[in-house]
Amino acid sequence: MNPLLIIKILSFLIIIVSSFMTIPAGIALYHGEFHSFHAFAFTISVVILIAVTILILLRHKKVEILTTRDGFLLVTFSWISASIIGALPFYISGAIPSYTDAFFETVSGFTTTGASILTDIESLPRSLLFWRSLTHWLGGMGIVVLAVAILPMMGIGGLQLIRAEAPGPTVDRISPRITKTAKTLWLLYIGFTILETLLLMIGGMDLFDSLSHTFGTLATGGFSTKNASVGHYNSAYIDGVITVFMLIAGINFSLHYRLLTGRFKPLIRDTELKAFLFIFIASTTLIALSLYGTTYQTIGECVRFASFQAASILTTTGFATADYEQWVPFAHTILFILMFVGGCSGSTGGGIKVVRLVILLKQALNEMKLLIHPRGVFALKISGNMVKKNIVYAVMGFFFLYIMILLTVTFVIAFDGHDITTSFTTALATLGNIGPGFAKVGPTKNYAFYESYIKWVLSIAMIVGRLELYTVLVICMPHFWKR
Amino acid sequence: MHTVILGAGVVGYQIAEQLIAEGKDVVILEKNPERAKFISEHLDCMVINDDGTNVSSLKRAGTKDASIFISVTNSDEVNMIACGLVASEFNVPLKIARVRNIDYSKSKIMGKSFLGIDLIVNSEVETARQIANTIALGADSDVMFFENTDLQMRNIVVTRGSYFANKTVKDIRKGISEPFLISGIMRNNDFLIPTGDTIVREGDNIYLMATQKNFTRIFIQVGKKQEKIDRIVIIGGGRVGSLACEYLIRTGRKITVVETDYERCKFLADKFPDALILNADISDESVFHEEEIAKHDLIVTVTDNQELNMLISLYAKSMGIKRSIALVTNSSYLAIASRLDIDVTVNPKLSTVDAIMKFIRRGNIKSLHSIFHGRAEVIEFSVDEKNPLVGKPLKEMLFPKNSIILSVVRNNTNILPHGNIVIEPNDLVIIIAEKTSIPDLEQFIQG
Repeated sequence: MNPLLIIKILSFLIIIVSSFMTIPAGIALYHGEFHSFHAFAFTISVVILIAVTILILLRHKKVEILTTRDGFLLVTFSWISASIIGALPFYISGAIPSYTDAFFETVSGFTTTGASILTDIESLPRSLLFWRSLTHWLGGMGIVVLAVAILPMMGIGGLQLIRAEAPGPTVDRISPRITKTAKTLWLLYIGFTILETLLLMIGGMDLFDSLSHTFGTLATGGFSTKNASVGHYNSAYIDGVITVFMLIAGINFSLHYRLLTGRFKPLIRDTELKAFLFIFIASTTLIALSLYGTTYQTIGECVRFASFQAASILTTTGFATADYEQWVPFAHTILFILMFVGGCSGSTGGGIKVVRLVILLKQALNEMKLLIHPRGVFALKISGNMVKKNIVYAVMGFFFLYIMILLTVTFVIAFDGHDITTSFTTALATLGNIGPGFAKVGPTKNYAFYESYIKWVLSIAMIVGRLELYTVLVICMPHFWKR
Repeated sequence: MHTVILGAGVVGYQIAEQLIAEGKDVVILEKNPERAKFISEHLDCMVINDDGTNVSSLKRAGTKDASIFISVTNSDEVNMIACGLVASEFNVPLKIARVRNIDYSKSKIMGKSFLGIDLIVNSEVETARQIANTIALGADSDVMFFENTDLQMRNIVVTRGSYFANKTVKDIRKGISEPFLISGIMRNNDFLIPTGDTIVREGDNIYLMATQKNFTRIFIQVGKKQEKIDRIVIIGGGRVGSLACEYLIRTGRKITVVETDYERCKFLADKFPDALILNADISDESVFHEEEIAKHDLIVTVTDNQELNMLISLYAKSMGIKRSIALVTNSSYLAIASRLDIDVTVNPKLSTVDAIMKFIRRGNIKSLHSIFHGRAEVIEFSVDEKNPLVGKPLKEMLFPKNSIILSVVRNNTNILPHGNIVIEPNDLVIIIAEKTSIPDLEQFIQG
């Protein structure tokens, strides 16, 4: 373990994060929001001052190869410190008077959860709204991936870091160098951002709103600039564009890269993609059928709202175009089940991830085959490749931990006197980085009513969920600190 | 023009033997002095006791004027390099190499130009192909094919109560309407060519000749059922087993592979998701019950242990599996295996020899096969006008002892011989003869 080195790299990292604050600071200046401008300027200057001091003090500290353990620590603390710093403008400007709330909101942003404590979103200054959406965008592709892409010195050991941050059981390398891989992923991400922003502007949104919503979509976050979320616009075109881009964000970005470089075969072969699309189409169809004649009268409306909501929950975005709590219970149930799924590995989505569920399903089937043929050897194949046993074990462990954490968080919330639906879906929506749940945390409601200690627990749950459990939990193991 | 063979192992020896019998000149390069001595004592050819991977020894072997270069040493690398050397230094039209390690049937670099090799023979691929072919034909007997004719030869072991038992060849023929011929009988390790009065006894291994279509009908008439082969168990997931599985699984059959090595099992499970891969030692008898091995239609034993292969095949048959195919590497075991209740034996070396000879012969009319493990030979020859055979009905001819006409090919159609047939000029006659009768036969047909 190398604490000084970790602190040094963390300093670089928070400089990168705080330098992104210059954009909302500019917006604040443009719109004359002086409280916010003051908050941003103060945060940036203090953070950069501290970071630069650390860097000067540690200037002789050479960047060595990071061990796997350093990676876990660095990644966990970079997310925590980014959230601590990111919350400052909300708090200092006075827009969110409680620091607990500001921290919750920022964690929710960086982890692309989209759970909010704001009752009246539209009353927030535009610069802070923009920063709120920007945290989504930064967290979506990953703060550490960004650092690896920008800082050439992170090349060595960068894979360790990306592995600790990346969603899914394995990391695809799309180029021999990890910095190049990280750069390519970010360029792809920026490309999609520009495309969606343009498409939304064609649909009549202004630049500010379309950028904010694009950030929320591509990061599978879910923060909107409107109280009624995407439902505010009531436009089939905007719903359509966002649905498509939510799905894009929920798909493995290395597949997008392969598609853009003209390789269609990996796409057709990809088991996870097929399963993801199957789940989306099946749930959309079922929801649409259940809505027909009950909530909506035309097939077009049914498909529009059903597909939007299915994509939003499946990819763990959390946008809403309708109050799905008013739908028939059958539609609730499907959305509830979708909360367990999540996006694809290597996407910006959260949750358990489709590939893990596919591996678990196939392993379960193999176990049954093994009962029939005790000496049989059965391959577990994903996308035509055999999945190694240690990955299967890791996935099983992940699933167990996921359920255990889910139950623990549920327990904590229920302890404060909330009903089972609220408690369980709150746990599910935060750990899975979804955002809205059911009952008291439904799509039209928010998290403001929770006691502050619950908000801290939920903030931790969001980070644990975003970093795929193991990265954070391993630090809590006594074994980690021994030797 | 002669043939240069590098490496005088079993494969090299057999090829040399067949080529010499066909009247070709053969030069053998063999590194091992004792083996070289053995070859020069047993075969009528020039033997050079030297390595084949240097130009000077290749020159001494007269590679410059050779028409065929065959490299069949034990080493893949030597075979490929020798062929490459020949390709770059000499102008030999046909270069053949045995390469075991590369699944050339799939590889694209193994085109014509790779090191100038014209044919790469992979004994494992040939063996697996042979297994797949035999199964396609019903796997009820060894099947031999002949060039220029659709006739094939198959063997039947005469068991107690069989249609063939204790009957003369004449009587047997009366009972079956389809044209066929009993071309040979293996009895107590002796090979004899039957006449009409020969009595077929229990325990005889008889070799029948007929077309594929007629075989089906003959088997129905004698009550030997053509079993349907849907479920196959392959014992041994090595290269032969894996290749056989690959060929067989394409035909839609249900395949079970039993392999002892767990890592190999994982490889197979990955490669053949539709096959059932079992990680078990087949010599552990409980596997038979646990996995109901006996419920399969066919067992293919292709482990590295040939004795185990034969034993398991026998045991499986006693447990009720209908058919068995065993891989036997040592050619001296082939005779033993043919006496046992193993339906088909495959031998990688003989498969390799067959593949090489087939490639060399391509369209060569006059040919000679050594069959029944070298005890008998099949001669094909065309008849000209001056030949003493022309114009006489077959029954009036006095053929040498232990020889028989198998077929007459006239205008590309096969005629199974009968007493009244008269041989015409330009006919192609196929004769089988025991080895000791060959000199007499040669005299007889040349007049």
